[in-house]
Amino acid sequence: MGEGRVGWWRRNRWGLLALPVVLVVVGASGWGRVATFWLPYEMVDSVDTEVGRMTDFTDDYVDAGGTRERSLRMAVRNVVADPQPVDVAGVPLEVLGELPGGTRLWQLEIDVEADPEMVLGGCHVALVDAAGRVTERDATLLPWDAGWDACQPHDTVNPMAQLFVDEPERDPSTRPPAYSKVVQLLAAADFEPVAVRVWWEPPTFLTAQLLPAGGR
Amino acid sequence: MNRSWGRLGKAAFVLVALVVGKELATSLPDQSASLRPFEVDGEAGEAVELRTGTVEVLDVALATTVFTPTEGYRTPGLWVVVGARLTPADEKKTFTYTAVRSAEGDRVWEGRTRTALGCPATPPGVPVTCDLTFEVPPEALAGADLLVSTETDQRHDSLAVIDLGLTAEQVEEALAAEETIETRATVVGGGDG
Repeated sequence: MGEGRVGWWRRNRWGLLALPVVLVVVGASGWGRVATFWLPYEMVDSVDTEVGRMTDFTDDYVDAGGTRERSLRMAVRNVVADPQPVDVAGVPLEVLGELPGGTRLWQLEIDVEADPEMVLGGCHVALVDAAGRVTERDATLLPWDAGWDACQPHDTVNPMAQLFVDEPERDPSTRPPAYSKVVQLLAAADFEPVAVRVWWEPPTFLTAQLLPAGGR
Repeated sequence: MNRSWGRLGKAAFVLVALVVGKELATSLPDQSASLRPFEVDGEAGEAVELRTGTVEVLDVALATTVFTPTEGYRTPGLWVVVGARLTPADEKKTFTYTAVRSAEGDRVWEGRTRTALGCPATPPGVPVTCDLTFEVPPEALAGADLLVSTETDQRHDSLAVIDLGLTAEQVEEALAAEETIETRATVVGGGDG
């Protein structure tokens, strides 16, 4: 009997040696699905910085002209609660509707340095709290006109992503190579941000940590 | 003799394996069951916790005609108008999927079939209160549940199943009364308690 068992191990030695290799290959092929179907659509690539620091930010996007790189430098600063509401041009408003009950207005400024032809439309700006809750800017929740675009001037000609393969020439961008934008957003009254998040599309996003109280 | 017993044993083993395999294949849940949402039961007036937020049914009304801010809609069945509040948990959410399901659980009527639903997504901790409207045949309404999810894809996710507390008498009364309901404006924040 004992001899039979030894025989079995000897007879199947190549299969037994291959087994761990096969298991690794199976695991790797599963990882391929994660990398292809999940990772590109999740917020997994954080560019970490802190409020007030100019930071390089690069990500990719796809339009009708193919995959393009979006590359810029930006800084988030002056994160404050309960500011005076401002309109799309950053002009303080005197007369305005009431904020929804149980909410609080927050304000921050974004400094951007980018090639005027770099497409920056459609950015998202959010506050993140210690529990990981994400309060995103949504202009439709503000009772005044805060403008759709959070990261570009409202009164310049801004470049747009290419929607069609053969597109007529657009007006050249008049966006300055460096500018600042005031962003206001509505959060729950008890929301205590610890960081600001700026992104265009997953997986890459900028995380600017707020400095300890008093140093915002 | 020994050898024939051995063959018989092998044949029996194969047969048993086939029978066990067939039983497993038919009795184990298929994909429609294994992918189904996790239902979280609740009742009107009670907070129901989803993965992505908290849902509460505030009131339920039945009528044959419903007026939204832009249009009026009559139905040969009944309109179910559910005042509901959603408080997102970790990121902005709204009532993305809403439906009424018959008491037997076999028929489902989704919202937004004829009336548009203007219910914005709100940030974490900021409730949004909306009137959800459903056009449902009266015979299916007694004991029906409201289904709510904040996701378009509810597979493997939580789904609120809230008993609307509707009785056959209420349905008959609503049919006889032929009443009209005006939907209320959406409220963002803790405005209407």
